[in-house]
Amino acid sequence: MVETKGYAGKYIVFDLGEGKGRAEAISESIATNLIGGYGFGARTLYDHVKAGVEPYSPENVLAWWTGPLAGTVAPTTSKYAVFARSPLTGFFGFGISSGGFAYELKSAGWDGIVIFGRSPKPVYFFVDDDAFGLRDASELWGKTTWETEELVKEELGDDAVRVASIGPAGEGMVRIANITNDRNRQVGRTGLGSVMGSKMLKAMAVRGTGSVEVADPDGLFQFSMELNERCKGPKTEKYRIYGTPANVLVHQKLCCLPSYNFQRGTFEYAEEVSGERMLRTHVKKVIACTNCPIACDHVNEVKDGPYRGTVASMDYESLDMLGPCCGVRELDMITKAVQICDTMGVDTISAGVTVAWAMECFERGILTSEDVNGLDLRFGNAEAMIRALELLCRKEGRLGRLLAEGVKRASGVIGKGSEKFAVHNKGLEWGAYSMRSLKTSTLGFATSIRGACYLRSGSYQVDVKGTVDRLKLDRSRGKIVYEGENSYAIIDSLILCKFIRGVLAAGDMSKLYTLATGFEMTEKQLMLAGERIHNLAKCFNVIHGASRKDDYPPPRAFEEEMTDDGVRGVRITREEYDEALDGYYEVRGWTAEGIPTKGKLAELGLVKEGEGIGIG
Amino acid sequence: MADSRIEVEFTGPFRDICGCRRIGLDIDKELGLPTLIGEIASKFGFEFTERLGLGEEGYDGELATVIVNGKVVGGQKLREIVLKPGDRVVFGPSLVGGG
Repeated sequence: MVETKGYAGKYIVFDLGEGKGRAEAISESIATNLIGGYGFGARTLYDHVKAGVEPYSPENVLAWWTGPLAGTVAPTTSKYAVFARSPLTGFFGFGISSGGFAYELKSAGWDGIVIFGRSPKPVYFFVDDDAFGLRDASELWGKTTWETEELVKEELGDDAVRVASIGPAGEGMVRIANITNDRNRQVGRTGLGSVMGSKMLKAMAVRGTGSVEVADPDGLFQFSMELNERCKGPKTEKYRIYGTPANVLVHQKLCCLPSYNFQRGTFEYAEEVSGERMLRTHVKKVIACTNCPIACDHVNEVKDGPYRGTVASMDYESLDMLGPCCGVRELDMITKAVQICDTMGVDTISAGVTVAWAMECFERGILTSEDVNGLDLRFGNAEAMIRALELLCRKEGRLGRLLAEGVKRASGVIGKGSEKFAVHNKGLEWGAYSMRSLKTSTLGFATSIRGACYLRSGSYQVDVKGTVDRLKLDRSRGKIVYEGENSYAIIDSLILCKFIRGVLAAGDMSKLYTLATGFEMTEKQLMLAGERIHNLAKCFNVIHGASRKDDYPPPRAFEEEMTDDGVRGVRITREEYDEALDGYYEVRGWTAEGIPTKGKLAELGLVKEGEGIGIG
Repeated sequence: MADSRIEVEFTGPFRDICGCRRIGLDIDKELGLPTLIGEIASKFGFEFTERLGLGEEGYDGELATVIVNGKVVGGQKLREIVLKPGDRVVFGPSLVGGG
């Protein structure tokens, strides 16, 4: 067991089928080599989810992990991550959420919870400091995430209990279902809400009344106060005042604002869906997560019209995917669409991309009126988009059942060339960054462990900061993605909010880790741990069939030239992409097929894992 | 005449500071980007340069994005940029993603 501070030193292992669980200790070796969060999740999935374990089988695990900083005074650290084999991708399923859940879990004295098995009836899991167990959720089944949170708090008679739950979409095993806590915070990606649904697990509730001991309380307090002050400065102003929707107009100017299912990189109504407009007309309040001085969560309210009173948390990704990506320009309707996703429990990014694909299919005559439940599913028809989302969330009708599978499977079912404009990597729908006009970003999206994602390497940053020529790719971009992935693996293991990264100086992450845990850790050692974590997760993917073929962007990136003024004619060539991917594998120390080598794994202390993927 | 103008657009905090979406500036010869920034600051206030994080090295890419004719100007390249009539300049916040 970990003797140091920061960590609780123990986690819950619980079998839903047996209805019993136990406490397990976290070893010092695991703690220092894998840090927490993402690292612990990689360890759990690698150890317990063997080849052939289906995502919806009782053998799939559902692991919840915090980091060594959660529950401490360190800012932006009330974050937790959930892991399972993804039903959407078949690979490493992983999502991170904020709010107050992680702080509460650590205050209850636990670093994480690893769930096995399947319950015979709907249940929710309740951690009450040292005690834990199942409670009946029959009355909660069918309720939205917002209703569930309120009802659980009511049943437990404690409004301070933190609840993470699934909505009807997760219950129905919609593959893009998410997990929601604190109403507006989500473990959004890779369909982990549907894994909860497959286990008949409606919610997780936590009450923690203790506190987390740290190695150097005075030092951590002083440093945290310094970080708090930095967080109040100009570098986080964009999050505090404008929120991430401030990205819309800058993306527009760079022709990298995905619209019309990524056919274009600009939107003729960008001004109408901009963060600047939203702030003036729709933002009702701004909310902070526990222990966060930044407060980025901008909550919209529809003030009049048929959706008057609708509220939803709005970030750039949700706004673009359910706005320009579907050709929709009405902020009222986008807010309504996000509310449907949040309450029913589906990921806004995946939902938006999947509906946008269906719109393109409909306009091209690939999907008929009968296929789409009679909807006039053209780009820009906001009412049709909303109805399609409702069908998707409940798997209703032919359209709902199709879209509930996510864009990769849906296009596989429909065929007729629709696979060419199904915008995903590894089955995970692409985020709001244009593929062809942000090429380093695209390499990072496509090599991402969990599928298309901007949060695994942040490689878009060199494109949008003008550090590189964003319209070209070459071998050197591999190193940029590699370094970003290793660094982000640590951010996701500690776990810190990525919005604090702009105020962190070199050495600050290792300083936080050392002050909290007492382990002396240099930045170089931390980055090595990041590389170890990434390779461990990669080994999991290799076990489940990943290879080079899975590290490519979708056909649209290669086969269609952009038509927007300023980037007209731009596309990615196969040759330049292969060159960049080769460069990435080379710097990673992997084979040309994207498989970690024996030497690299040995260097990272992962010899056993190498044997596990057949290279021992 | 349109050909003698530089079009300057503001988004995010720069729109708030300047109180407008865009301005046009008539120039009859090439103009350094720092000179343009100086002119904007003298018109709308020096909060503009503070918000850019303008210093000897250029501007702070963690704070702002400067785009000239669709190309991002790297923070340290700002002083190298010379504008011509017909150019389009955008001042916006830095692009962010995460959470």
